[in-house]
Amino acid sequence: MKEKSLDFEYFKRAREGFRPRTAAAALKGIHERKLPIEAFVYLGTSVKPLNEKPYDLEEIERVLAKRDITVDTYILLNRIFEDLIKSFDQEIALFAAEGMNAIEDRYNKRIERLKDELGKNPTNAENLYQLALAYYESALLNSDKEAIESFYLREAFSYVKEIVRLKKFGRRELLLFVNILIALKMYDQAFKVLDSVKLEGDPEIIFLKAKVEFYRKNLSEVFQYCVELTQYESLSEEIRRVLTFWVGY
Amino acid sequence: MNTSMLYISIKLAKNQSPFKIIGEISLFFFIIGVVNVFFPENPGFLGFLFNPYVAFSLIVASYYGKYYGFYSILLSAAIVGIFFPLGIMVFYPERGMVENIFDYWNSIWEASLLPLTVGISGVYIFGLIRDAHLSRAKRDREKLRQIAVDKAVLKQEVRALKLVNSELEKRVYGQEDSLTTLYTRIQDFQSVNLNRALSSILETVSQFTGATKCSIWEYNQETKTLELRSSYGWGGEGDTVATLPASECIEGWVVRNNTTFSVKMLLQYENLRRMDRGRNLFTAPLLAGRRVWGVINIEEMPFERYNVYTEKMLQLIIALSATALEKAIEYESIVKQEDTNPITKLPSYTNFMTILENRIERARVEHGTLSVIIVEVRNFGLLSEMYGKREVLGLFVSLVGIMQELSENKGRFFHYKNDNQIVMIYPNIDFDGASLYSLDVLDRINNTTWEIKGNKVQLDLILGYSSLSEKIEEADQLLEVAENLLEMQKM
Repeated sequence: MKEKSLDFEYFKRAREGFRPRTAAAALKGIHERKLPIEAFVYLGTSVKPLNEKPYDLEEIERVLAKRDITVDTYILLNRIFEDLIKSFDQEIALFAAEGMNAIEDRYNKRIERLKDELGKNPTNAENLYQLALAYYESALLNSDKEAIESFYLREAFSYVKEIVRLKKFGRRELLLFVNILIALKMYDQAFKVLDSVKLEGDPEIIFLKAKVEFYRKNLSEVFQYCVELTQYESLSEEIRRVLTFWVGY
Repeated sequence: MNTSMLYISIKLAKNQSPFKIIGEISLFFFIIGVVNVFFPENPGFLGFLFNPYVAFSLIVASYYGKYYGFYSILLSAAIVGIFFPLGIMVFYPERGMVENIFDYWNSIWEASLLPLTVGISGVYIFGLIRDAHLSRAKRDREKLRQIAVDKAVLKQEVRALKLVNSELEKRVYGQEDSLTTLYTRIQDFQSVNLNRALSSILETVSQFTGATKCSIWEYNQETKTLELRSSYGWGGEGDTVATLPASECIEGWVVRNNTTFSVKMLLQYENLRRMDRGRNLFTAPLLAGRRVWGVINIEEMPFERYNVYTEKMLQLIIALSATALEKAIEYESIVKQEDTNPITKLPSYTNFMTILENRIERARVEHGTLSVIIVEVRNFGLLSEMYGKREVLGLFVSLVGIMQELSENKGRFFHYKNDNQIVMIYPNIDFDGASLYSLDVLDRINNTTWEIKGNKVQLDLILGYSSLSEKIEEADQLLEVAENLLEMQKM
């Protein structure tokens, strides 16, 4: 049976009745037989980047209301709020301030909860890692405020050191540790840490070494690591892009 | 009996063992037989209009199937033929049933012919109907099962699609370097304020390349030096150099060669290694129109972003900024700092006339169009008396901000003849476009809350506009039409 193609009738009749603003709402409308499938297709394919001006405040609010937001999205939202807070419209400025507070509050609560759990079991490596990660992400969120960023990074650093002391240091912890050291601009220490671990044949570790050498301005070493990375097949798109630039991979 | 009821009965029947069913049926008919004994002159209820043996046999056939129905008929015959006379002998010995048993059987046989025929054919027909329903119910059950399986699969598919949709949605709204975002960022380049345009370029470069530290340097032909014009992410130690000798730095090399420098070039070129001070990752010539005006330098960026894509994005941003930069430089050369209002930062009427003449000339050469829009705050005097002139002029900053946003940074604003008037040069829109734009402005202004020192105030605005046309070719004519429109609204 031939499927009915989508048409534009919906847009002509869209003034009547329920008008969804989000794809999820449109989907509910279809379930209730209040909307045609065109409503969902249109809204589902009309998603735009959050930082596109003029900002869509309702969309920003909707995204902020979600719980499963990645740190990258939080950074993006924070950047948007920092821009909106300068608005001469006081309502918008207030909205931005509340948004920034909400993000900060979520991280503070996460840290508090993890600290409470750690208080009950101070040698729980998983809790220590999650705390270090929460502090590291908080630092990323405050990368434009040097003092606050530095404070969060040092907190993250102290928790990773505790994991090292407990000898529960794995690959995941290593990656976080090196990234914290890079953020603290402690490139020599980061290189020492990477050099001390025996994780040969791990392309991500080699890439991290190249990264640290790049910050240490050792370009010939960066080149060497990039050449070494070309021996691996399963590389991420991000690594491939860098390799294309350095060694024409 | 509807399908679901039948389905339930089938399920019940299926769950019972045949022995149990036979036991149940036997018990039932035994009870009927016992009841029958209390009616000794009516064996098998043959004299009654309603015959329980036949009726229950039909029920059994329709409930359990025709075979159980036939069993019921046989059992009924046995009860009426054997157990009933035994019961009579026990409870009514005076009747002498043993002597008359053969007579009894003969009389029963004759009387039961009709009920027996009805019973047997009824059991068969009811059994057939039940079988037909049963097979239909089986089909329906199979169909239901298939629907349930399909529904479960669809549920899983919908769940998976929802997750994919949510993930893709996240990727789209989290996308910082989309084409549409680049377009909106480029609108910000179109500022008449060169410093603002430069910082906007740096912000865009930071957003699209991930640069955490970058700067723009202007090349000074006379002194052969590069002077810092704008920076992003600066503030640390060593960020104090504001002038570079063009002959001894990579920035100078980029200006001289009109070529992009990339830090990995240090691996190949000795001369670049000598000039390197460890502060250049990407350095690209910045063009104003077609001449190299200066350079843009990326000093810090994540290693992951140091790739071909970023280099291309940088070149794209530079190419797209060239026209805007040229205009801002031209504007800066005409409008002197001392000619701008200290509160509104808008240039004076004299500057407006100079730039308007230039723009009209350019529109004529390019066969383009141009509009001017005069905005007058009618209650300026009243508000000035209440709050002071400075405070009311402060509102002009927000007013221009709104108009600038609506024009996508294409407009140029100036003070006009009176304190309560500002004027805008809006290139490339005609009379209709100016009219629509004016309506948008009025709509936004009326929907904005205006405040002076915490007190809400109303801005009473009128707008007059005009555009270049076959009849209006000169600046004076253009302004006359706009002013007339303004005056008409005052009447």
